[in-house]
Amino acid sequence: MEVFDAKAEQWWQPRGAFAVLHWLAVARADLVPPAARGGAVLVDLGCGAGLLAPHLAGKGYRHVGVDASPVALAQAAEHGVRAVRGDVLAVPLADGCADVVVAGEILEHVTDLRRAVAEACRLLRPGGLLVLDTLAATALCRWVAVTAVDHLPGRWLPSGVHDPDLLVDRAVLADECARRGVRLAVRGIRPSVTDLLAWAVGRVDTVRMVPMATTAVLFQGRGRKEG
Amino acid sequence: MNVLIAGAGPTGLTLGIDLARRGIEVRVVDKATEYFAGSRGDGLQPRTLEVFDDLGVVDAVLAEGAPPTSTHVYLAGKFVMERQSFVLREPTPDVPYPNGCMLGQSQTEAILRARLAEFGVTVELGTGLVGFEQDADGVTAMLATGEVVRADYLVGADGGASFVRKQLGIAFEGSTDESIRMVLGDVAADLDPAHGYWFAADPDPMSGVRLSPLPGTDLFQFVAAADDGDTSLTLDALRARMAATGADVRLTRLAWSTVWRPNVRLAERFRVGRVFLAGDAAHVHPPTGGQGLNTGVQDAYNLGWKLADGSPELLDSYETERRGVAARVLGLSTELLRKYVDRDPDADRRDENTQQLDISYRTTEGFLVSGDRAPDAPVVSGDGTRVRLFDLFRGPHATRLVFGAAAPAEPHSYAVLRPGQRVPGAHVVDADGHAFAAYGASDGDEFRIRPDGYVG
Repeated sequence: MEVFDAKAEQWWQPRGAFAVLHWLAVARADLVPPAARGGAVLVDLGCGAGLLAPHLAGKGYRHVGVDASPVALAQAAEHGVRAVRGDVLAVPLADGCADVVVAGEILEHVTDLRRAVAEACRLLRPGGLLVLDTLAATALCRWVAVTAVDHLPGRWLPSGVHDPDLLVDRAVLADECARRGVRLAVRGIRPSVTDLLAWAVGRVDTVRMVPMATTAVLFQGRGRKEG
Repeated sequence: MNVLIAGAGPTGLTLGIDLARRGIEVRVVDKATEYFAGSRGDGLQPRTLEVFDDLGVVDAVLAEGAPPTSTHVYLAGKFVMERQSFVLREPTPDVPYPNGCMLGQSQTEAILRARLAEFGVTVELGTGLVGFEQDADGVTAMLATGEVVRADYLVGADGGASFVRKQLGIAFEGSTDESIRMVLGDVAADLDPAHGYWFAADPDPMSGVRLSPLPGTDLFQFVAAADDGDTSLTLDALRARMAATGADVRLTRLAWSTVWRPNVRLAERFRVGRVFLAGDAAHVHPPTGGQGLNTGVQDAYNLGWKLADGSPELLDSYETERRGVAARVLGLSTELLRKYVDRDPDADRRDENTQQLDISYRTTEGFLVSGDRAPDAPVVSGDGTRVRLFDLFRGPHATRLVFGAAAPAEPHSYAVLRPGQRVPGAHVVDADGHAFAAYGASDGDEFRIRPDGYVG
């Protein structure tokens, strides 16, 4: 968190330290269908500075953001997010309050994955949708996220923010979801290589995320809660 | 090409319609001398309604059937509570038929026969299959009428005691639990058909009599554990069972009945050369969860377009895909039966597992990959009218969807565009974003939807 706050002024810069989080926010928002009812609530766990907000515009949700950082939350609020200060391991919101729960690039930062997943599922109303993306606990991902991060073209992952011990075990994630009534499907994603090269040389401001065959590095998950 | 179907139950009729609408010559023969008259498989699952939508019978089915009802529980003749097995849901963009539909099997069959007749095909009663042989080019079948039929393919949809399966010598492995027997019957009763009922004598609330209304009739389906002596049923026997629960309900007419044993069996193969097995001929299991008829309908729907295509890979895939599903259904229905036998208070609860919407033939992981059900979504067509993706899929053809880019200039090929995107050629606009979200699609992604509504 200190790492995030130290670079807080860069949250909304398209070429700043958090650029990849902007690209991921677009891919994440693409998985959120328009609200099925008036007053639908989307809870954005680890919302940071609210990067998801512009991409949810027009979908009809009340966007509630939960984050531990008051610095980030202040920025999120400026982008229309209803900011709630709290821990994703003990979210101060009621059971079943959310039509959609989003956990974007947060699960790889928590010390208790099962508890974080249980909290996300608890917030979902029956039939609600869980959308997440995170980094996989694999040797390949450790190398990419922790070791190779300073050598990637365009340096698209921020360095120094990933603790290799906290990366997400996909089997544990799917199992905890299933225990909480959410059948999770996952798919791997990566930045479009052509976009990434164009971005690295300053020709474009954003990079599209595209599906890839392996979930061993960066992956998205989604699933509906039973009922 | 021509296909001979043995068995005019829901499986054979579904296959007959699917083949006939492709212009394939089809005959549906059955050894029975009259149409089946009972309620038997009386619950149509959401996925079956989607199949029926494609086959053009869903409106008739929904008009005649009714949503599942709640159950009123009576102990020793006194009302104690109302139980809800199903949570009725609102349709969502990707699931147009979220709830099952209750309709007696004889009524479902009548609707399917009427649809088949629109293609000029009439079920041939009293025309059992009595023998067949196959060679490299086709099947020669002998019928009880003495007629010899030559067909490209033979499909045995002739029930649990399948003649076709036995002739092929295919093992039907599994077990019959002799310790459990159930009576099933269609009776008239002086009860409000707005609910189902569970009557039991205190203090044994789990062994009693279930009565479920049969929409479109004045009858209820009667289900109870059979007594040792029961081999056939009379109205008086059912009345005695009813009276033993302490409830004062008048039963006045018995239209159909059967005694049933839990028989859990799976055919070792679903295909030998040009001969296929479908429905109960390929798998039998307890009725708990309402899977039997529905699984048979989907066997037929999986097989129809593959027979029409005729390529060896597709014909091979029938057994691979459907035997896997049947094995799962056997496990599911047996588990639900076990809950009843164990008097689990949650035995009546039904969830996504029984709706058959989540059946997938996938072999890889991902959000929406080959073998997954293609979701529905509301979109706007090129001329500005609101349509559904299921409208584009409806019919015997495959469909190609290209998200955010031009689609090839061929029939049933559409670009799915975000508002503001422009491409030449056939397209629909995902005005609300449901299609992109349901398919997890990015610009340029392409999905081929098989004729049976799964991603190809």
